[in-house]
Amino acid sequence: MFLAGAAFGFHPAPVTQQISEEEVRRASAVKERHERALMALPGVTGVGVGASRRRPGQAAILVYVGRSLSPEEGRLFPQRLEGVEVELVEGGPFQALREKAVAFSKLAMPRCPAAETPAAWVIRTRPAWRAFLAAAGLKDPHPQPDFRRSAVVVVSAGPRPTGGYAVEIERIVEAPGSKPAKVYYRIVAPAPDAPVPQVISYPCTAVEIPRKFRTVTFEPPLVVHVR
Amino acid sequence: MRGTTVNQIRISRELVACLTLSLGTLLWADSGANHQKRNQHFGVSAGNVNDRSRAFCCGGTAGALLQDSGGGKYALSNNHVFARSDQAAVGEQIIQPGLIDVGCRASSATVIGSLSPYPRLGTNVDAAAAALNSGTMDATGFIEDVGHVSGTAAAGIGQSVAKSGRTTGLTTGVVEAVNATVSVQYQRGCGQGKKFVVSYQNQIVTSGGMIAGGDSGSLLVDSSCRAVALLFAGDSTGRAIGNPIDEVLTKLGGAMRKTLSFVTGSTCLLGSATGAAAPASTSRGPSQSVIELVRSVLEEHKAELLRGPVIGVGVGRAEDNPLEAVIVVYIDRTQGVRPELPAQVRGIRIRRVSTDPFVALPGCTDCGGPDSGRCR
Repeated sequence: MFLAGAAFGFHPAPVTQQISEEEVRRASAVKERHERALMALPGVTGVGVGASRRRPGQAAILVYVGRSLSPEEGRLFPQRLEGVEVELVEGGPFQALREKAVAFSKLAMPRCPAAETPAAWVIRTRPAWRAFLAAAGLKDPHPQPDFRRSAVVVVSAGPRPTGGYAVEIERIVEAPGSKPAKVYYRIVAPAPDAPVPQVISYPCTAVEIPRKFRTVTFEPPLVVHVR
Repeated sequence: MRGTTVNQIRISRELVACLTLSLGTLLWADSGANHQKRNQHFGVSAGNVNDRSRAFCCGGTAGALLQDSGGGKYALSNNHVFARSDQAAVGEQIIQPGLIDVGCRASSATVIGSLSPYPRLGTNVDAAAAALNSGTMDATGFIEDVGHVSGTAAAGIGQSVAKSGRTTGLTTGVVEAVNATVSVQYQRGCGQGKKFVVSYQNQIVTSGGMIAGGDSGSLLVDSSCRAVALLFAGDSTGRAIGNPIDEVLTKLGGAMRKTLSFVTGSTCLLGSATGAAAPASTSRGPSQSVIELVRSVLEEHKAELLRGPVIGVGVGRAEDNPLEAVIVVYIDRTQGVRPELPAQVRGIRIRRVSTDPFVALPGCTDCGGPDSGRCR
């Protein structure tokens, strides 16, 4: 596939070439007349006026197509209209580019599990949460997440030489695919001159996230225990 | 990292789609880090304090600083960012950074202003503004990595452009199409709710690699920092769609019953005047005649270059000199073989680019011929 593609002569980037205003006006006028018909063709996400690749220096009608076309569909597209080249560009579908992040809320964790290496737990049921707390030396009543709506994510930094360390969840995003969430976290060290307890500590943080995220990954990557 | 990945996809798509390589957009000038924190400059994260659902929170970019004739100052963004796609009431709080960058907790962000009256979606612009609380944002309208807006300009095909936004920071490219009619997909709520399509006329379309989710609301400027368009949408290759800026000022001003203009200044980091931060890779390029020459040399030597792990060749710009045209050779990194390539061919340097194997991606099933230059 790619070799076939590479065998075509690569044209110099024609988009950098100046197209005269008259050319743009000429192609725009033709585009206006045929726009409705072009927009109705299969897969078309937009129609504009740009630099022709077939005829450098001329303006062309650029038809943005957002998906694969069958050969039959491809034949529905005109090569030129009223003397103006019609050129297909792989583009779109176009989306409004607001970004979204997963909402989460922090759970108070008076004590963390003594994890020997950095690790994460994703806990989806109340019994698993009780067992997790018990293993960490905590008893109910402690944080009581609503497991009908939420899952709990615990990130542990593993052992640290002193107190004063903390784990911060920076952002959780919905990753592509079937409902995975990706957790961005960082481990914060105490300031160099800060007075800290001279004991080995096991910093961690716990957050509630919407239950609908079936898998959770971490950045930087962590060993994940699903309960 | 993100930029690299996106660009590899872009390269693959372009080769498969028989498109030409424009190396300027391969070089992402900046990561978005400074654009996602509390930052009084523009081109940074911002959003509506109510832009959240149970599972998600949303946000975009505060693109630039506007003023009215009475000296009132406004942050410019999109309707679908500041006004939650027509759902927001005038006066709702606008925060910086947006909810997406403060773990969805509004209390961790700064309220910079309140939503002004805005034109509805379907009026051919996706624009809204926040009346700024004094002292919350830079009063000179400085755009992170860009500088001050120097005025407004119409877009021309092939014109070099740049934008500064929340997610991808500063990116550069060229205007690919003007007078474009496009259909743009929206979602009413944040990560939930009805999806709908809005059609736009007379839009500006850029080359790829310029925009990603969260950059909505960025201002598109030319190489002398003149405002060209308000960006609001794009596709998976990072091709951006923008409302022409004059129409934005007119329609937004109409809704607000104010005469709006940009707060302008003389610092432009993009032009040659200040030099250092200039994205020279796209502000100027090799001349057309030089490109033609390199292309003819490449045609002659293509067969001998396309061997072993070399999976593509093209004409591009030198990494260290944007005015110099070079032969670009794409090497499949997964083959783990270093091809034996000359440093130059007939005096034209060869630039090696390591890449993943090219894969066919939707949109192009049948590439025409050497003369088509585009997929049919």
